[in-house]
Amino acid sequence: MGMSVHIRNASGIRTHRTGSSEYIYLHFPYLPVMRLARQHQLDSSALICVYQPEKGVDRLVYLSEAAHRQGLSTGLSVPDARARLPEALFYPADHVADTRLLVRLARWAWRYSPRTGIDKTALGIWIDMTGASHLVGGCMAGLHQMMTILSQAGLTVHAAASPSYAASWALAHYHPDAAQGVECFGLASERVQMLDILPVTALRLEADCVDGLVRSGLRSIGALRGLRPADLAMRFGASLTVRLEQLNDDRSERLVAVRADQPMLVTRHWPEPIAGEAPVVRMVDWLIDEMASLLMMQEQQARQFELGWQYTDGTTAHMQFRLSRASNDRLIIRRLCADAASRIDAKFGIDYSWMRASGLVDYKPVTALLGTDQTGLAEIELEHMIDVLAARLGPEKVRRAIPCDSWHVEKSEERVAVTEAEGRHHDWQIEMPSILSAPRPVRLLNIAEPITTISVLPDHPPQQLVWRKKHWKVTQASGPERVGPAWWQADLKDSRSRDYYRLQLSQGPRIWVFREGLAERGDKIGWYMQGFFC
Amino acid sequence: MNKIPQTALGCMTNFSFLRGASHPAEMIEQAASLGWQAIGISDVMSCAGLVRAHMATKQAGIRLICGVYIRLQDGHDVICYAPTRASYETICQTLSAATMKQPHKASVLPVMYKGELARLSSDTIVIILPASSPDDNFAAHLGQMKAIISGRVYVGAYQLRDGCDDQRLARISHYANAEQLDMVALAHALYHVPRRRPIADVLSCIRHKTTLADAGYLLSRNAERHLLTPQEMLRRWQGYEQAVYLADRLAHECQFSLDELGFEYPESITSQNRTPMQELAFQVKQGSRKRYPDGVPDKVAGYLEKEMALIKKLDYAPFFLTVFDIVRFARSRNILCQGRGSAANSAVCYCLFITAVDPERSAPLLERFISETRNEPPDIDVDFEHHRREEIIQYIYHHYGRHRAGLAASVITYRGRSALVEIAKAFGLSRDVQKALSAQVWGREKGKFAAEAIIAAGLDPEDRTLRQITSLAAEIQGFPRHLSQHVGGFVIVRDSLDKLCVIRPAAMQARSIIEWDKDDLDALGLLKVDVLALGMLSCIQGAFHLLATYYQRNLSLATIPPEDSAAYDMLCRGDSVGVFQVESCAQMAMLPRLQPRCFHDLIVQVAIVRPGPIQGDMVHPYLRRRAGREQVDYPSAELRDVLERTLGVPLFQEQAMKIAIVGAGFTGAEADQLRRAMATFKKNGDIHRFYHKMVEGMIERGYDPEFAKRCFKQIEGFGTYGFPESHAASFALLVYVSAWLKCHYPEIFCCALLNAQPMGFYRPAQLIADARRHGVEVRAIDVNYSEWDSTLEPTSHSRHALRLGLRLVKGLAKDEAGRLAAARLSDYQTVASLITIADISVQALQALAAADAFASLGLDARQAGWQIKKLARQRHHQLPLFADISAPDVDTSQYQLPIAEIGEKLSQDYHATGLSLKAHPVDVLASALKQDGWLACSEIAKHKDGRRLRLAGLVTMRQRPGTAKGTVFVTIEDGQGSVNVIIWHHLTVSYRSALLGTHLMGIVGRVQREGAITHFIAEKLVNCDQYLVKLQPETGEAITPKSRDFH
Repeated sequence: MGMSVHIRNASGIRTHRTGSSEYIYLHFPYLPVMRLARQHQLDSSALICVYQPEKGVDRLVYLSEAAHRQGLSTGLSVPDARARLPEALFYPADHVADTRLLVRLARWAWRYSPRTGIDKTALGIWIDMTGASHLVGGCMAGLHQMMTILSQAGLTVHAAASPSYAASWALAHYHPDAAQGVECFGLASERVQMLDILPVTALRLEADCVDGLVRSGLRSIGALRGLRPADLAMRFGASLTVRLEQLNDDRSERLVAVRADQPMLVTRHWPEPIAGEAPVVRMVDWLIDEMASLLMMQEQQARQFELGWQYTDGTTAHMQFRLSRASNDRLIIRRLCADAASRIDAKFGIDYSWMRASGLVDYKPVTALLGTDQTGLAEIELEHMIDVLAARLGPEKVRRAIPCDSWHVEKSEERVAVTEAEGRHHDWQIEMPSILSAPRPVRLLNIAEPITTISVLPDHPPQQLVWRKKHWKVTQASGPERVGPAWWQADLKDSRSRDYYRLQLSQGPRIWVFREGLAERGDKIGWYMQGFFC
Repeated sequence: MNKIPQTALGCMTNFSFLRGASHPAEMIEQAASLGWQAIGISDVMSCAGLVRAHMATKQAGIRLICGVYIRLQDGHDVICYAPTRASYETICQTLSAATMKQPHKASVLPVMYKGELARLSSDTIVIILPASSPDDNFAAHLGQMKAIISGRVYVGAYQLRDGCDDQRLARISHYANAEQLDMVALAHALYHVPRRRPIADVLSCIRHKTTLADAGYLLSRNAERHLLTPQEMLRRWQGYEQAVYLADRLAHECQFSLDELGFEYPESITSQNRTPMQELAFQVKQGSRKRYPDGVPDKVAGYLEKEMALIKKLDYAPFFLTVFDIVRFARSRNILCQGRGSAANSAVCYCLFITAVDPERSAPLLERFISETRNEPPDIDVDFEHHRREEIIQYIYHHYGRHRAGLAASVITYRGRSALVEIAKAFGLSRDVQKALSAQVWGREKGKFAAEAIIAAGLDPEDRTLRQITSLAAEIQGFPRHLSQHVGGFVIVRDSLDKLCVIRPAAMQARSIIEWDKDDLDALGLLKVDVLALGMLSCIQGAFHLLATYYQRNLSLATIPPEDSAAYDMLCRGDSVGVFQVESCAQMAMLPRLQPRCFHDLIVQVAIVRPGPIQGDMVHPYLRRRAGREQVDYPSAELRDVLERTLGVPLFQEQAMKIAIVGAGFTGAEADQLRRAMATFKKNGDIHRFYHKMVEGMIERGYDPEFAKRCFKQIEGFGTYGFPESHAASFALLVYVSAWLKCHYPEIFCCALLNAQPMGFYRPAQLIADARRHGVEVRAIDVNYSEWDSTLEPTSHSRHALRLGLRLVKGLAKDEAGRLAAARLSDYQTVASLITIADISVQALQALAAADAFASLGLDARQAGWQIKKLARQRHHQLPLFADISAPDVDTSQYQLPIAEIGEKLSQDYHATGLSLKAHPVDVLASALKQDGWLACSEIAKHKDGRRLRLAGLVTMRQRPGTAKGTVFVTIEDGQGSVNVIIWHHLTVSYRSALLGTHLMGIVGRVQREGAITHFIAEKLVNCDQYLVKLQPETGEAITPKSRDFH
């Protein structure tokens, strides 16, 4: 045979192969902890504990070395751990973030081999060095180079290289010298010796299979060598014998390599440098049309677009656009970028330009019901107007009033930047509850203004008042609507109740005033003007 | 001047669960102090708070109008008030019918439809409430309601101060006029004072599972839903005075009071046309002949005469007959039972076989038997074997009918931790902070959240939110959260339960709970029989059975040889593992000091190690006097009678009461209130009212102020948990019986204890170790010899050996174990034969193998497991027809599995059964420990008082008694015995981690000897768990024996 055959299918799964191969496995035992340490800027002495819920109880899954040294162990419940070590820091596990980090590491390893992959359950990455190791002076040299770089970057890494994935996995996870990096390319007898000392957990078995082996006194891979494969298979299933075989022969191994992301990118080199207003407009239109059809084809919608170009002198520039609702409609994108062309200064000419989309969501078409406006098209119109305004004025400058559930007039609406308003209710008619039985005025003053009043009794509505230095006579009054302080708010400064009255003034206007403080409780009393009904 | 209104209708209490924000008593006291003459309480879909309200109105001298607030399915609300008992009954029945349709779930309100209101009797007052802004729908609704309801219909009106009160009143009155209905003014109070608004808001958040920041309009707009003064009410209702006065008129008609619900005992308890009293006399006579075959002693006859006279006078014969009936049934089924409670320790109950405490021996107090002044039924709790209590419950249902018998409720209230956590949740604190806060509340501490606790949780005590949370948490203490069921308090009536009170479904099907708890029932004088479960009775019954089978001795609670000196000797040594009540560390330490030599001493022993006497600082004076180191004297001659039997030191609840009567001049009724306050002390804190009266009363009468204060402190302690002498006497009997059994038949006692698990203080491992120390031969679990229960086996000598039962094997189901034992015609020869003969599942075989139960087949745990693994696969893959043909285990001969080390065997045994007979882990590790300077803990016996040692042992118990000011008691053991370690509070802080998380604890400390008692005073704690890992180094899987922590 001698000849090695590489057949890969499109997904990167290698289906068949013979001959000797080289695998490096890098295990990052503290990866989640290190990710958190970096994120929260903690040093290595921090007692970091990562937990995840397990049957309703939060249990520790990963610990920093320091936390280990202080006597915590995985599997402990968070309250127990907290009782033992109150100064420890607890974070929920984030497997998605961990996987993302592993993928980044696997992509980093592309510099050593085009075929690398992640092992997300065991916190490791693998590098298939077969045919690529000579570029770094051999597999071991590559291994040590990787370890040096990674440990300089602050990552604890346990590594192994061997002719099979399974053996590299086992050694990296369980060999006592894995922290220094071990290799296993020697004679068959040496390799057996190295692997035999490893515990059976190094075989990547189901937990109950490991448990069964340990209970039978079969703790190490070496202990299994004395047994007939049939006897093992009879008790522990064929998977055990397969795993044993894989140590030497990885034909049955199924590994999926990481792939590069495909960006939503449209590019074009222009044969003639583009300059002048009309050509620039045409260039932008072309990019938008291409982008819209690319998105449509991929059944995607995007919220953010980057329009970029390169001048003939090699310098580049770009602009960012943002939609408040993801779209792939060319009209909408065009409207968003409408004035972009006018803002592009072509200088001596543009010879290359691109458009990139991000913030992707899957495209779900909506069908309008006949005769109704169930799609919320009117809403979409408004939103696009907001987008256009935001694109011109800057997103933080355009604000939207959103109703809030609060008895307190000042807190019953919130003005938020349009970028943050997304996903919140805008519909005032739906939001105003029926329990607000007393009418609220259409116009409110930004800040209630003090007024002076004359009333018969302290807890009666005023009969006359002075507002903005003018005298007003009250012909009719109704109320009070009493609103107590929001007692639970930490920044509460004034804990006085307010009594709101609707007043009809003799000169015509109907106004909304309130008295702060309870007369019957002997509070200090103040009258304020809050708003107008018409 | 206008007439002042007198009645506040439509008030809620906090028994409108998670809505109302005032206790019934607070609401009513406030109403009385504002000048209201009557108050209408109506809680949402419940009458749970009515009895408390009833008691409070009596106290406050105003009238209670009983009612309920009904939420209809269509969103409309009505309030029903009962003018007569008949009306009250229909209200309860209507609501019960709706409640019983619901699945059992505490937090869900029952669904009720308009049509169901048709059941209400015609005199019921039905007040229809409008929505906050009534419209024409309301007019239609009124019309429908008028058609449905046969009772008298009114329209309720209320004010909210929401700016629309005037319009609302105008509209309501308009709609009411249109339907020719009268409008009645409601107080509509949700709390008694405005400052309870925060609590109402927090409760809303808890009810809607949201936070204050998110709740929005669910929160209250203002604090206006409190009680007004009558004058202010009249002022606010200007123009609608008629509506206000209508409330007074309605109240005047409502003359119904809960006092009318006098109890009607169930029928069918007499035979041969005898009256209940005649029947009781007959039964007592019959019983006394059996109890005293040689004639009733004069002393007992005297008791009998007095008791019977009292029973006749107060007409309690049916009650005794009911209890007698239940107990007679239990005896007919051979279920061991024993009565306790004030009335149980009487000559009558002895003759009725309700209790086995001979009045000749225990000298019962007539005052405690039934109090004439307290008009409430006698108190008898009956304990049954815990395995068989269900049979009794079924009998009660069958005999009296399901509609007549129901369980009492138990009100679940907010306590320290739950209050803190739920309020923190309502404030939207992160789970982290919630946990950090609650972690600072140990166990069932009362509502004190000191600044230190907040600092210890790593939080800022000056933070406004935290201060609000802790103060609200303190205020919400004792607020009812929901109703649950009482453990075994049965209410049995003659007619039908749903006429008495609203009933709701229990967790188990076809059972009902009445909404009142045991204090409520007491207050109304309703009959309740407590059918309780007691593990020790199962144990004793099992032991009697074994005694008859293996040693041919037929004994019962009453015929156990009395005053056996060997048993007392054993107790005096503090050798009481497994003995009822006196097996805790504190009791064990007390035994050698108290030196109990007779039955009365045991009664004292049981009562003395209790929070009451400890808090009242009565323990040491008693011990000194008993040891003759202090003169026995009495504070006064009149108290001599009260205190003579306890050497001048009050130890029992009734003595405290007597002191209040004799020493402080309380009337009987006041002493009764004091007793009641004792029982509910935790909930209400009423007891402080009595402080001045009692202490000053005693000082006036010439008692030492110190003594007076101590007596009062003790009464406070009784509130937390006190023992009346009668309870103590019943318990003391079980103490004696179990001690006798342990002393004379340790193998039988241990066997019965194991079979009655779970119960008691110790785990099987400790019970077995103790039996072995007492010379019992203990044999391992084996498929060929073990039954489900532990059994006895004959030996070559006179004593039997204890064979451990299959019930100790974790993961083995009872029916599999039963099949295994039943199919065992001859010994099982192979593992496979268990499958073929007894049809045992593979999982069960694996459990048995893990427990090393195949020794008689010549297989150890490992080999058996190896064989079973193969069988498991074969069974999985083959047709049953070929199962027998497969060659049996040919491969085992070719390969010898590695032999397990002792450490691994121990570790497996502990995992599979929680114990090992092979060795004790500490003994195995002794040499390794010694190398590092640790002594196995029982070595302490060789060292003198004051010696500094380094001891190591497995932790079996961690305790933090509420009375010990933060001191933690830890028990550590090795193969030879155990040591009690005292860890002072400051150490618990600095060694928190080692204290809480350690299985094998190393302790540096000092020996402390006091007579026969040895303690070890800790100075430093070390986690030695790494030694346990050494037992099984390859896997690093350590033995993790379970300890009992902080019960």
